[in-house]
Amino acid sequence: MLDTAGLVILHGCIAALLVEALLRVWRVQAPGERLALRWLALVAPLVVPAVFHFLVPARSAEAFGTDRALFAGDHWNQLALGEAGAASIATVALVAVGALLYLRDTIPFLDDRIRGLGEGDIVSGHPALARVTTLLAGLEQVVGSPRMAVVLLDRQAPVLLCSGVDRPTLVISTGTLSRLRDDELRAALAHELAHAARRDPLMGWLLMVVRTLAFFSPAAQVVARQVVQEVEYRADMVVARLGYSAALGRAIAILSETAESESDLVPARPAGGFPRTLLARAERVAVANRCERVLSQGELSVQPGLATVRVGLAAVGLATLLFFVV
Amino acid sequence: MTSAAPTRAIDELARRPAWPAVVRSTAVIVVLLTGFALALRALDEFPGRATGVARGVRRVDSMPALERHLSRSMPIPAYFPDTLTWPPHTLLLFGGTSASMSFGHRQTGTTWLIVAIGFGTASVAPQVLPPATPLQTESTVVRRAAATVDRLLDRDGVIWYQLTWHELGTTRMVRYRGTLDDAMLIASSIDERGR
Repeated sequence: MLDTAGLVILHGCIAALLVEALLRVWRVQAPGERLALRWLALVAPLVVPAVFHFLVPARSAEAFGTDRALFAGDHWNQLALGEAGAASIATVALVAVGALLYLRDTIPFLDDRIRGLGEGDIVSGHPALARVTTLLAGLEQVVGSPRMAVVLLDRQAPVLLCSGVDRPTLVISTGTLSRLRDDELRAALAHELAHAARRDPLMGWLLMVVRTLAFFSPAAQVVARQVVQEVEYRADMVVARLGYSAALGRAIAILSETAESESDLVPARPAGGFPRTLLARAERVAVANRCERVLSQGELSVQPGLATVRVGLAAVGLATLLFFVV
Repeated sequence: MTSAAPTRAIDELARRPAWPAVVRSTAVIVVLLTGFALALRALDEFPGRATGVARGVRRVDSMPALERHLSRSMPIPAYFPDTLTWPPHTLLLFGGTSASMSFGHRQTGTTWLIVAIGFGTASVAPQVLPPATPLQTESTVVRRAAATVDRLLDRDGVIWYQLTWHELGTTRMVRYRGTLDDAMLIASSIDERGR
């Protein structure tokens, strides 16, 4: 069990590093390609060992590790601390880190689901609702999104989310409406519609399933966060194509000013435990990066067809590399 | 109808990747994969170098630990010169197919006897043995089995005798630093059935 966990963790680290290197060296900008490569880094470490185990049983033998493997985790058990080998100790430590990272993101997520959206705050017939529905009506066709239901919360804290796997729903608060001007709200709504058009809430649940399967792998937890960032980047890209980059950048900055913001437009806040100054700095950097990316999207050039070839190359290359890591 | 076909062809051309870009991307991933492979191989070498054994060799602490890894008994000599210490000071395992036990001299502490075994292989893996240069090879008989006796020269310039034979589907080896007669006696007394 520990060996299998160790192998998945090792494969996860290699996959994450290789994909990160490819994204940088290939200078991948297309959001779809970036997302596909991140998913590859997330899923390959879970799938590849199982597939090879059934297709090439000889790979599981100890002789493969000594004769053919590039790297065998078991070799690190030669370095022993008392009764336990270094590989076993490292695996236990990394499993603990992976589980902590998983719980750090899952507990608030589950807490939100249990508490719901705050049904007591839902208001209907609010004058502000017309402002949202008017803007949405103008955007839905342009973005290519299905018609979204709107849930308006009477809350001062900014809330702006796209939820609903079957029926896309926009959740927005009066606090968001009071903070954003029309052009900023239009850009923010376009961003949420882009999520609905791509069925990103469903992807969010799939991502949670994969994260749960690989709860012990720190690499998987980090890559899962990167997948979320890529999904946001893809939605930002849609907004940029509509020419609302600057307004979206302003909306991100405004919504990030409030600590209680609940929106995918606001970069995820690091959990407590870090010194407060570091926490604040990390948030500022994340917001600045997001705004910078949004504003620079106009120069994006995408070569059709190349993305598919590159993702295929990465999949074959990664599988080949992982075959020789046991 | 007539204008749609050229438009479709142009669209299809636009969707195709440019070959120079594909070649460049392929070259980049090949270079990256090579770099990753080299880095992984270098990392894999580290534990062996740190513990002073060959790559893939595992050092175990005790006879029971060695036998647990092998899932079988290690043959040991019933004839064991008084000049040697028990238990073995080094126990090495390679790939689950070869193992060796090294015994030290009671006074000097230096390795004096090595008993090695290979399971289901034609020879004992060299990784579990210290390097030595063969000087002479002769045929002999050990425990009614055809055997070879080698004179070896180790890195310190010391002469060793090495007896190798096959028994019960295993390759057995005794490498001894003393006399050939003692080496023959040790080899002839090796048995795991009495344990």
